[in-house]
Amino acid sequence: MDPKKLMFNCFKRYYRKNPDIVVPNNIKQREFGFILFINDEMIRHTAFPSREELVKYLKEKVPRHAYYSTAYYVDPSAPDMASKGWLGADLVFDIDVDHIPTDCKADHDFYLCQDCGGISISGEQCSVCGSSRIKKVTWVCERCLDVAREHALRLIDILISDFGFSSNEIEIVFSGHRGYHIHVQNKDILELGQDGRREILDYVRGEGIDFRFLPGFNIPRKGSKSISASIDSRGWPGRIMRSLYNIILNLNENNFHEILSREIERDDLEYILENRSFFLEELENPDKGYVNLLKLRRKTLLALLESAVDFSKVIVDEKVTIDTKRLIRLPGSLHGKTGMAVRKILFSDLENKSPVDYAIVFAENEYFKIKAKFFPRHILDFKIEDKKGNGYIVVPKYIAIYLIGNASEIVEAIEVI
Amino acid sequence: MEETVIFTLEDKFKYPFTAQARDHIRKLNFSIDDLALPIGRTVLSLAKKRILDAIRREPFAKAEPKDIDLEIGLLSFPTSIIILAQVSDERLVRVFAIYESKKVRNFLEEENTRKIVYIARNGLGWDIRSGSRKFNLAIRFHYYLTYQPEYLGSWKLVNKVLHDGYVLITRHELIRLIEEFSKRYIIKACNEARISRLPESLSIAIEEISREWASVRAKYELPKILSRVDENEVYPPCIINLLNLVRRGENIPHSGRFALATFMLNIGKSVDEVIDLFRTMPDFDENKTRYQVEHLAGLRGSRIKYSTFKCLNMKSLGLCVKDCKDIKHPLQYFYRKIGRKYGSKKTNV
Repeated sequence: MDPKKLMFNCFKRYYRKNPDIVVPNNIKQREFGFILFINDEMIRHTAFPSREELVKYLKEKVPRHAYYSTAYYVDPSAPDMASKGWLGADLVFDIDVDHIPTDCKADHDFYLCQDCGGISISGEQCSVCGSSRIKKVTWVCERCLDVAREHALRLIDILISDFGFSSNEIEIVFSGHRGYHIHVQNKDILELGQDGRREILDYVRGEGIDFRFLPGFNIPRKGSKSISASIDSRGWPGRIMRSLYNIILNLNENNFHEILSREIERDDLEYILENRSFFLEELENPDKGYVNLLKLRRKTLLALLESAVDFSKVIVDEKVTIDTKRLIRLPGSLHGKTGMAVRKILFSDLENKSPVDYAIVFAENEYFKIKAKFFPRHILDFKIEDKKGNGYIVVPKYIAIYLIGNASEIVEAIEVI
Repeated sequence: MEETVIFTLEDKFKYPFTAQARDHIRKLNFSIDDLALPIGRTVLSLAKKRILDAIRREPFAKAEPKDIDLEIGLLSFPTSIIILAQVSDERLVRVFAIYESKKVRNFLEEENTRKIVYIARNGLGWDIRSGSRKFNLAIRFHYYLTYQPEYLGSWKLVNKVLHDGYVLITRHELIRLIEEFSKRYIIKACNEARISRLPESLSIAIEEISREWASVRAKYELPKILSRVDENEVYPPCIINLLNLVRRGENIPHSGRFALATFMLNIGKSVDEVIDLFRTMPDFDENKTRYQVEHLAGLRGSRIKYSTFKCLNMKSLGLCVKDCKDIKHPLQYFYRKIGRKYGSKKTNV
């Protein structure tokens, strides 16, 4: 069986069964882009007058990837960007676990040599032929998706409590792959340029926080320190103090390397652990003053505060937010690398469910026997085991599609069983 | 009950970019043909004076017209914009916009906070909340982001308290935001102003301004930044060498331009001042230079403010001209000299 043909047929059946395509608002002002199965070229400058026309196109063309513009244009189908007539753009954030360090990556990511096809675990050069033309093959598992979800929740908290957006202005979309796209549709940000968007981006990722300027903190090189921010403060000052509380609450001898992103002196760590209850108490009741906290040396205090920033910042891909002419995946379409659906979800789904619960499309009780050079040990919710050690595995359909879509080079043979 | 703010004709004259002032100007129904009338000639001469004051950088107190009819004064604002639009020199427009907006800041600093809030809210249509504590003002974040004068330090949004869509700001910061608004308002107005015909009186004024501007433009083109300190005493020899090359209009390598621009930015020169340094370069392109200098200043791209090369690197790039004793970095040289001469390490020059 030809793996790519199998994938195409699956996508075709999906689009012909009237899937739940969620069209963006003002569809007539949006540009659409597609990559088909025949090659890797992006078909751009496409526009649709209605949802019906778009769905008809999807059924006919069966794209491997489908996108629409976060921007609104007078003439979205104009052949060059200058003549489209930019009207504004939604504010979009891309949370992609690829940008967030997780330790499960060792379980599933590997490198594929472009010259000999050899597999390596480290990324310097091919362990088979020594070539440096190697490509990283990344996969997602439920752990990765959980980390992405955590960052999406942090982001939404900032968007609502700091920026004051209402929950119905925020659209949450599972990207179909490694994370979430958070869209904000609000008239005030529509015409904001790249500089303004970068300020918002830097805000959510705590980039450029400087305790010389942030209200509520006075930690000079010389002279006495003071902190007036508390766990109840608004904006970043309060967020930092709440994180600091959590850090001190959870800190112990074994985990300080993970919990603290900046180093502190051994004796300071011991002091904090011995007096933990006093630290927590003064953070809960700041009226009495931060006696213990301010006793710490300046360097330690700053290391704690900076760790607190790292603890609550959101890791997002910067290009997507800054680019006001970006194309983003269409909810309801399929992701050509995973075969999972790009899904618009409710806030409660983000909180309580995993994409494995709602984005797997090819969930039929159908199994495939696959021969491959190498397997990731763990993808999505599935543990892959080559039980007989002969390069053959048996996997359900959604895993088979993911293996083909993400790294068809490693798949040597596939058959239905 | 909130006390009402009375926005007088004098206020409209001081803040001609507000909705109230523009509305007043519209109602006066003054056309360019009226410039030929005696009253129009007064308007025209005031408009010219406004521009000349900016070119000559007259102190505001001296520039303030005495005993004038405020409506005539008000009309001089759109008239000066029409003149500038016709002279059509970007640099002059910026000189005027910066001067006028600094004048606005000056006026605002004398006002009580309630009046300033009124101007932002009713004159510019901004969404402002006011309270009673030190950071007693809050502005809806998208106005802040649009008129933020800098993206560094205390201006950076992440170093502000943002809650429920509002950024806490001080009175002084609100004044700076209004100043920035007025500057951009003027630049935009000058770029967009179109007139159908050019009456005789107006074309004479345009000629006069063009002539005056041509005679001083060169001064703006050479760095004025060294006005208060003697550069030969405080700049390291490598930077003096680069400055001399630039002034002679000699093409210097990219690394030299980088070193010079980052040095100047680091000692506190503005982006505009640094751009002006390079005007004499044979391949000067204002837009390109602006882009690059803003990048170096950390206003673009990675938002990293670049420092000058250290001496070791200056040497390997062939930019070092003299071995300065005990100096490892050109900026160190500068701060030492400034410290000795002016008593403080980081004097604002």
